[in-house]
Amino acid sequence: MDEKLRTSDDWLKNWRASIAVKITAAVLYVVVFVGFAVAVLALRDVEENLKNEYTSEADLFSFMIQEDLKGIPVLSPFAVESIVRSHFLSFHFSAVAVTVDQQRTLVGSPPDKAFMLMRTPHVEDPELRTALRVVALELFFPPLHDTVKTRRNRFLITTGLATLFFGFFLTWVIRKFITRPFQTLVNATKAVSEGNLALRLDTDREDEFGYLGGFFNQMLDQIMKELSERKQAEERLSGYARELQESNKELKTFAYIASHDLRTPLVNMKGFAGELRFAIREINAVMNDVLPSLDENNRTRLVTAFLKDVPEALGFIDSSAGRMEELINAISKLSLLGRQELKTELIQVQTIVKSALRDLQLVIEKKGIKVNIGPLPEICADRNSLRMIFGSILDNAVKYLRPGVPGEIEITAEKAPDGTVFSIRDNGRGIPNEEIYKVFEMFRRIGEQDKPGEGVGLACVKTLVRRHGGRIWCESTPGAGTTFHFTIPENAGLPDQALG
Amino acid sequence: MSERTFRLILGGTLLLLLFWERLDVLYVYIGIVAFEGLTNLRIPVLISRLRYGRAYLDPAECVVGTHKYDFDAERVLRLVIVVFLVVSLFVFPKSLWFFPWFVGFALFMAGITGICPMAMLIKKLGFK
Repeated sequence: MDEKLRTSDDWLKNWRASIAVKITAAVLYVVVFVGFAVAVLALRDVEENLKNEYTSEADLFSFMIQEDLKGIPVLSPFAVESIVRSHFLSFHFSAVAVTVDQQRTLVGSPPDKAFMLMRTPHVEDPELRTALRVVALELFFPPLHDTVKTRRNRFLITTGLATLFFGFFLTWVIRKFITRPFQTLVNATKAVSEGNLALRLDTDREDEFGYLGGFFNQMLDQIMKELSERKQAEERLSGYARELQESNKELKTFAYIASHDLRTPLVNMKGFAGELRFAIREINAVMNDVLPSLDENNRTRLVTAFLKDVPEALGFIDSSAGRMEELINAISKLSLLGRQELKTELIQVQTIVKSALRDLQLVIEKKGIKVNIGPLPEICADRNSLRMIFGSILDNAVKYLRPGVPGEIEITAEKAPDGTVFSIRDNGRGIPNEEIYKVFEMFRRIGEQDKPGEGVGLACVKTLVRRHGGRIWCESTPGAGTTFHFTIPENAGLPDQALG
Repeated sequence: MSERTFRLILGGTLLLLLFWERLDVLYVYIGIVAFEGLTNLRIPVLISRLRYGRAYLDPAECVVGTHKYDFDAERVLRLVIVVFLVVSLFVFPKSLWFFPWFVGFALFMAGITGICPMAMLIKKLGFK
């Protein structure tokens, strides 16, 4: 694991932010409260205890002096003083005054306000062996009040320091076992959020942090796997997009070639057909002179060939060439629509619809078609394209009405997540379900072919809608009518919306 | 100077004065803390103004939100310290001999940890 992740001392700069410090502080305050409660109880009888301690010391000292005096040959003040001096340093008192037969000697220096205790050990005179000699000991202890205070202060300072060290130790322990793994996890999460997905945590620990580290690593593995899969998919997708663009480009080139290069032989074909017709007329003029010289059989064959078969063939050539010209024009138109630059602007759709309806005014009035226009929004699109879209769909709606049924056309719009959905509903013939998928295909005409047309209109509409980044579909019930829906997105016509 | 540092100094000084039994200096100590509490001329703020100029704002002035009392929690804390010390040192010195020590340790720890239970309690009570 990265060393940087392992050791972070941010908590030193901001103690309040550290969990270790918070826990330690809480524990320390509890310890201080408890410590003080104990201290108050422990130091409550300190004065009494000290008095008892001094009394015990005085008794012991007196007893020791008494025992030592038994062993000396002559009881003199000097001997007593030397015995007192030999034991003096082992006790807590500051000074001792020894009085032997009213002769007083002072050992040590008594402090101000000293606490004094008096003892008179029972001493036999070694020389007389019977007579009792009077020995008095005055023991001067440090002032009681001062000693009590000193003891309290020492106790409290020791407790305080112990608490402080305990606190530091606790902080260290919590930091080592809780804060540091947390900090590591925080740093790792930050690094991941900054994009370092190759990072992994230690999973050696056998506690919750170990598990957490394990799951964290597992999560990163999963994310990396998914990212790699997504990247591969994106690469595949961009490959497909490139291929699609290439094939689209080829298709456009093909459409361009088809519409331009096929036109030349077609013109030639029509021109030479005209030439042939002219030649036939010339032959016909000559034929009247020639026919009488031919026998019946040959005359019939010649007349059939020049007056019937050849004009008929020329008629077929003309109509086929005309049809082919129409197809080439349609391809050319579609190719142009796919290539032309869209000039998007803010358009009142109501105006466009009304303009398209104006072109069909005569037919609408003649057939008595009722047209309902709902509230239509203002959108951003190419004016000409939108005009063609509405014009073509409305033209179909007007064309394919049911005979004997008053026509009704309704144009509405509504907001959708992917833009504005326009709907054009009619009550015409409808489209059979099995053929509905062909509606937007080029040169496909559905149902009864009783109206003129090349089958390109809806293909062009689809191209224009697609170029705006929208989609088009239709719903139909045979004998009841058809509804065409198409969407125009908010940012229609932007370069990334159109494919090619 | 932050309030936390000041608490650390305040607590440490109190403990030393108690240990050395310098009652005369303790009078001055209590006087300074009482002056801070009564006038709101707090030493940490004054020192910070000396360091950063007069534009330095008292953090308590920048507290946003609604408060029950328009009185700084830090001022109340100082007044509480003064009351505790006066009561324990001069009114009931025998029975409350331990209390100044407790105040000293509590201040010292508040300085070390940055967490002062008394200040938290005062703020909980509605002071700014």
